[in-house]
Amino acid sequence: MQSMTETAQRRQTISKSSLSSIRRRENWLGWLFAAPAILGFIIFVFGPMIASLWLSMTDYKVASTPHFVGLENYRNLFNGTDAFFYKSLGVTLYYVILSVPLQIIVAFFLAILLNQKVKGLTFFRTAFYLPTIVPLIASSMVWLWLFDPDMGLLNIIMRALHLPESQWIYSETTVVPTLVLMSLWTVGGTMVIFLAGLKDIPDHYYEAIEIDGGNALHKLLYITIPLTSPTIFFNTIMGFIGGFQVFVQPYVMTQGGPNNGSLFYIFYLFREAFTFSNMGYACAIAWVLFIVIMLFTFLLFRTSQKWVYYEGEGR
Amino acid sequence: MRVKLLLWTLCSALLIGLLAGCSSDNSGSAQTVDGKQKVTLTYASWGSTNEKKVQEQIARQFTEKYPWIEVKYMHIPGDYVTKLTTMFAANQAPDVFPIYKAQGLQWAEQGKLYNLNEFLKEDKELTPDTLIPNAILYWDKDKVAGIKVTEEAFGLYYNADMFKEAGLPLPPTQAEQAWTWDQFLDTAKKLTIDNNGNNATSPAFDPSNVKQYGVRFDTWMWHLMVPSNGTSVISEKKDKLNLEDPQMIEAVQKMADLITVHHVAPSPTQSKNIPAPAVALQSRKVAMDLDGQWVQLDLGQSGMNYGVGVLPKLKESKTTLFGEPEVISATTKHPKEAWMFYKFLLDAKSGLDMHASGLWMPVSKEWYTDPALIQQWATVKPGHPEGYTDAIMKQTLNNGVNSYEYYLKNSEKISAIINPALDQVWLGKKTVQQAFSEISAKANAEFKGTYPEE
Repeated sequence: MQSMTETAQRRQTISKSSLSSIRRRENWLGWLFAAPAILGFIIFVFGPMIASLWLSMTDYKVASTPHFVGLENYRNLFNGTDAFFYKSLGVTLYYVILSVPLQIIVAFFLAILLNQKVKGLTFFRTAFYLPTIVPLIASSMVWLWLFDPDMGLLNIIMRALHLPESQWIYSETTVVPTLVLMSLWTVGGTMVIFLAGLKDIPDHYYEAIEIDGGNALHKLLYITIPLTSPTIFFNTIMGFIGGFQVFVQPYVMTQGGPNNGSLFYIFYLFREAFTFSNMGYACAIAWVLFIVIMLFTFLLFRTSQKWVYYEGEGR
Repeated sequence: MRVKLLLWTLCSALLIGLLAGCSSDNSGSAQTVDGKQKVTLTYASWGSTNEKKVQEQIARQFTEKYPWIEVKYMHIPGDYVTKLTTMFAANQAPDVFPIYKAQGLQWAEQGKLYNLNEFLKEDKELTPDTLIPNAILYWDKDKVAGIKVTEEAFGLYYNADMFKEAGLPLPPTQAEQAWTWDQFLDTAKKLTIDNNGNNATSPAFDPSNVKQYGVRFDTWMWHLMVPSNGTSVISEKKDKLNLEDPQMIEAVQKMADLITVHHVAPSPTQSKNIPAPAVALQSRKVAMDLDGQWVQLDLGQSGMNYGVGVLPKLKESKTTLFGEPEVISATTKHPKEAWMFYKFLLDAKSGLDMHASGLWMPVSKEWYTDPALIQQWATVKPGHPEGYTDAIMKQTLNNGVNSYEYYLKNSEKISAIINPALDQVWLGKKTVQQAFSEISAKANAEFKGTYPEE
């Protein structure tokens, strides 16, 4: 009897120790499998970020030895020495504030339309998503043609309808709204995320409203919008981040013109880095943008408690 | 266990691959050719596929002549400066490459480029005297950033058939007979025709429906007529920009007036509908083109009947020179061999096809003076029209003025201030004087001095 308990105890201790060795090995394997992602982050993201933070405090001009200049680059940005910093910040903010709400509304509206049970739904979904797959450079070239003031399709239509023509991207005042208009063409990605959110809403909520005698507007206001608010929130943040980083349109279509009317922040950064080869200064510009985007995201998160509804939160 | 071993091997292989990808190729081979240590140079350039072919050919010919020097050619068709900047940052800059003048001077100042004066001082074949004037780019006294690899000069290109049909005299090719601005404007007016067939001299002329423009030019050449008005973009004392100088303002305003007052030239927006200059001339969208000589390659290939005259003059007949420099990077491990290849590149014999095609112009003086050499490029048709030797070749030698970017420090940044201001001028919303006075303080704040002329 006694010997049996002994063996059992021994077995237990053995299995305990082997269990912990398995755990240790699993732990090790876990790190191993996560290593590519972690290493990738450290080598390609975190390392360059630290390097650029340091470079932003130097006068680095590529291939020359960087000299530490403290916060001078940042001072030059904010004290108005740089003729383009506030201009580009203004242009970008204008674009973001105009484009993000519009993109959200249009994508949301399209998602609702595509959530109806109509014939040819797959076709419509494909059609509205398709522009998103077109490389931005290619679509920029196409829009360049459409926006042409004399021969462009848009002005030809305006002329035919006896509406006032526009100079589109060729006028300082209309260039940003025009690019916002163009950005609405590629809301397909946002739309798909909304569609997924809409699919998540159980039908019986809508049935409940119908039984209570509510109409489509009530459904939208009291069911659809509150229940997709996390999706709206997500899309708004992504929209802000994307809007602050617009580059291809000014690079391909306007070169920042006319009269700096489309001097987007990233384009301005690119020009400092690669045309004027002020790499250190460009790093400072990048860090300012990082902080601006972080601030915006932070503010959005703070307000989100007031309007974003998560299921199971019991509010 | 075996699976684990396999996984482990896979992971380490990936990791090693990753690290190997980051490190550069340091396989310094001690090969010898003809008793000389083998040397490999990298040569990068932009250019069309045609130019690419010629560049490769030049690199090959060079190795045939000097078998121990291999030249690896790298063609960078777009985003040239971005690519080079990245290569410099990675410490892998090509040994020899052409670069845009403003960047070249700036990069030399920053220590990225080899001071070519070290070679120029000692070389027996290539000395400043053997070159045409204005070919060497100095960034400081006795400090040479580069030498123009080909010269570029502006002229008045035209469709000869359109002149014949309108019964107008052709633009003169001799500097002494250069058109005055009024003669030029009058011709441009007669060659500007609206959809009803009225030309710009007629009171019934409808400027909003122009079928054929008298002339076209690129607005980035806003300073084209400045030297002809006896002034410069940089003040005479070289202490500021000449943005308040009445002569300079007048010279730029005359260009703007072609668009906004006389409607004989398309605005920048209207230009978007007009094909590339050579096609525009051929398809009769425009009759004259104030352009650089490089346009001859396309004009020649189009098979059209074109010609060239000297630019019209304001006070004196001048042409603006615009050639881009060839440079050697400061990080080159083989400066001596790089200089040998450099000289080979500058020799018009090496890329004679390109010179004969009309795209390039030599930088050695003898190619402008020795009749035997001249006939190898400057009279070769169809890339060189009748009158080329007077209107472009002689004009370059005798009345060529370097564009202001060769001398203005920080010129990229200053252009980034001036060009947007001029956007308003081309739209007719502001006069040149208004536009310049608005940005004068801002632009002069970026004025960081000038580069020496020699």
